[in-house]
Parts: sequence; C-alpha cells; structure tokens
Amino acid sequence: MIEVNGVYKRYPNGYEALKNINIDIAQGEMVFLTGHSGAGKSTLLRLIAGIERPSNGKVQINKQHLGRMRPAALAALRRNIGLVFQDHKLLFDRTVFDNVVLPLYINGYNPRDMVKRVRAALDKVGLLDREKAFPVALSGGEQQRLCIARAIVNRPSILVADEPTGNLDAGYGATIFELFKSFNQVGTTVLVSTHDLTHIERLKPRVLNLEHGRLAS
Amino acid sequence: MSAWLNQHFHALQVAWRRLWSRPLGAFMTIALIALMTSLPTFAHVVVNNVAAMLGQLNPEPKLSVYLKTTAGDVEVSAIENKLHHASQVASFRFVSKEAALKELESAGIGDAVSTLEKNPLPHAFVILPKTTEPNALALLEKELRGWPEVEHVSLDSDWARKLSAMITFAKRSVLFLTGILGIALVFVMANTIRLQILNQREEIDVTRLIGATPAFIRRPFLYFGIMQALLGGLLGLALVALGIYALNRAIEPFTQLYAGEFLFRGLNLELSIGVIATLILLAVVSTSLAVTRSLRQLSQLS
Repeated sequence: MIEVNGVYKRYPNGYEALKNINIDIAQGEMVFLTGHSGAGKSTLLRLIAGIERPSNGKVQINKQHLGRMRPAALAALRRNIGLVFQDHKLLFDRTVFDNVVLPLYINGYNPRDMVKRVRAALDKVGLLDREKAFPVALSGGEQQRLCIARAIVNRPSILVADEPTGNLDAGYGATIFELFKSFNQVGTTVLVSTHDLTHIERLKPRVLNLEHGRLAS
Repeated sequence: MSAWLNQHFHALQVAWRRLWSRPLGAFMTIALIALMTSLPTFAHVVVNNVAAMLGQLNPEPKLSVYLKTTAGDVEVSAIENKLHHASQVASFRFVSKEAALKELESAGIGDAVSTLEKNPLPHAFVILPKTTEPNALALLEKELRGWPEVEHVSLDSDWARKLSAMITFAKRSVLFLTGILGIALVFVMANTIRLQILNQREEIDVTRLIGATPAFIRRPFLYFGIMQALLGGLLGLALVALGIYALNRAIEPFTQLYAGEFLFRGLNLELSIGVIATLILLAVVSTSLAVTRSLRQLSQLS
C-alpha cells in the first residue's frame, strides 16, 4: 500500500533529514515510527502524506507515485489520509464542530450525514460537549483531540499521526491509542510517530526506528 | 447534487464570515466600489437625460432669411423665384413684415413695438433645407447671403447642433471614464482578494493539507469578490438615485420659472441590472486572476 524506495530528503540549508529510506507498509498494518528528536520521523510522515517531496527516491501509495501526481489528484489522495499534526493546525476562527466538519465539506458529504459523523468523531475523542467552543478555549490536550477527531471523521484508509499523544495526559493517551487500534482493526492503515513506547507492548504494532535519518531496524 | 450545492453553500458562508470579520475594512472597500460605480453611472444618466431633452427640441435645421428693410414686393418675388430653383431648398415660407409684427404683438411685446413710428421689421423667408449635413448647410447659407436683396441669414438649429456635438463628446467622455474606473475597479478588487488570501494563508494551508481541491480553496474567494461587488454596486446605485433626486430638487424652481416640465429620469431596471452584471463580471475576472496568482505563489512558498 505504502512504498518508500531509496528516499533521501535534503533541505536547502544542506541538512540531510532522511538517508536511503526503504519501507513497505501493507494495507491494514499498524506501524509505529520511533526515534530520538530530530531523527527524521516527522519528515518521513510528511513525505508519505505528500506534504513534501523527496530529494531522491520515490514514495508510492497504492502504486501512485506522489511526486508525479497533479495537484487535483494529490488532493484526492490526501482526502483519503487522516492527518494528525504535532502543531494541530486548527482553524481558530471556527468552532470545534466547524473544524471537524471541514473534511466532510471537502469530500462532498450529504449534509444529513455530516452532523452524525462529526458528533460520532467528537464523542470518540471526548469532546462532544465542547462542539460549540472555539479552539482557543480548549486546553493543549483538547486541541490535540480535536485534531484527531478531524483526522478520523472522514474514516480514511490511512491514518498518519505525528506525535499524537505529545500533549495528552497518560489516560487520554491510552484512549487515543485504543482509538487508533480500533480503526486499525477495521482495516485502516495506521502510521504513528511517537516517543511514547509504553503502548508498544500492549498494541504490538510493527516498529520502525529511525536514527539520524536512517532506518535502524 | 445536494453535496455540490452544499459545497457552494459552505463557500458562501465562509465568504460572508470573512467579509464581516473586518467590518471597517469591508465597508471601506464596498464604499470605494460604490463611489467608482456611481460616478460614471450618474454621468451616464445625466448625459442621457440631456440628450433626450435635446431630442424633444427638434434640432431640424431651419434657415431664416431676412431681406433688406427697403425690399418691396419686387425683391420678394425675385427671392421666391430663386428659392423655387435652388437645389438644396426643400420648402420655404414667406413671412411678411406685417405678419412678423403681429407675431411680436401676440408674444406680449406689442406695447413696446407700438411706441415705434414705423414697422422696423423686414420681410423674411423661413427655409427648410433638403440636407442636415453641416457643410452643405454652410454652403447654402453662404449662397443666400450673396443675394443682393438679403440683409441677414441665420441658421436656427446651429445652437442645437453645437449642443448635440457637446452631448456626443460628453457621452464619449463618460465611456472613457467608465473604462478607466472599470480597470481601476479590477485592480482594487484583485488587491482586496490578494490581501484576503494572505490573511487566510493558514486556513488555505490546512484545507490543502486535508485534501481540498484548488477549486474548493478558490470558491470562497470568488464569492467574497462577488459579494463585495454586489454590495458596492447596490450602494452605488442608491447613491446615483440620491444624486438624481437632489438634482431634480435643485432644478425644479428653474423649470417652473420657464413653465417647463423637465425632470431628470433616474435609473431604469435595464441600466441597474447592467451595472450590477458588469460589476460581477469584473469581480469574477479580478478575483480569478488574483486567486490563481496568489495560490500559485503560496504553493511555491510552502
């Protein structure tokens, strides 16, 4: 499903974030990307999500070469990927409900389905009672959960999460990982970068360890 | 279909929210569009009203040929004979000095005329020429002046023709002004959209990341531009209506003084729809240009 072949990522300042990365991720796999800060986890996730392009090598999703896709085709691919960002990327002039409903508008959902789906997603992350609040009124952890709700509302076939529990307390962190597991159990491919190794033993995902931009295991 | 409509409704909602998120800025842009719209529209309405008034005045050219005061029946017969054979004369009417005096008396200045010892008026002919072409009229006038029995020739429609030429000039000036302001409007609206895009950069980035197509991103800006143009246009038309009302109030005593009934007619439905449709077209053009260019720049930066 996701193929990363001979990928290098070099930034204009000369910093080489990724070096010769080769990964195959099958549909329905749950993969944890671990490594120290600056190891290249976020960069790799950004390449897989088509947010950045590799300097060398290719990233393919369902045999589609991301580097050769037209903007409209790339947009269509992104609609099938749920993204959880480290910095949340929320719209602060919109309510919790409006933030979560945005992917459904983009996907052209039926208005009647929208409310149901948004409320279901908010319920899963424990924010149903905050649907009319604005993100600025939420704590850091709540903002992260809001970002997760937006990523899952569309029921994407791939879920990419960059440090999703970084701002959450341990209890909510476990809940979020359980949520990812439940999505994975219904066939969603889940790719998570994390420092938090406490859940690995329990969830038994495939673990890829990055060290200084190289795949260590 | 409902999903498609829903996306457009969502774009409308976003555009409306963005428009009023900075009310003062929105009002200033709308006011600017209104002023730039009202100026040529008001000029167009005024010029057209004056042109219509001139049309009622019948500027068909007439030549008045006044004979020398010493001219008698012999000279009159000679002139009649010449006019019968003049190729550029369609018809003519003789006005004797007695008839002219009676006309003056009936016009209410008989008392003044009665103080004179003798009738000071000459015999005259009123001629309708076959042509309205200025050069041919000038030639005919020159020919008539050359006749020995003739004292003076006046071309009665001369003032109307001059006014008509001024109206034509005014109409062209209004057209030029409309063109210039139209181009300026494109720049104003494009710049507003460009600033909007810079303000909404974060939102554009987020929607792009979660799979929005370029059309989805572009749509609210397009509606934003159309909304501004529509509101600016409506305000502009209201200003024109107000201006016409004020103008009519100002000329009312003047027209009453001359027992006239002329009043400026305001905007008609056709013109109003034309103004709004033109503004929307300009908004679509300027917004499309600005959005395409700005989004391309943003995607190069990100």
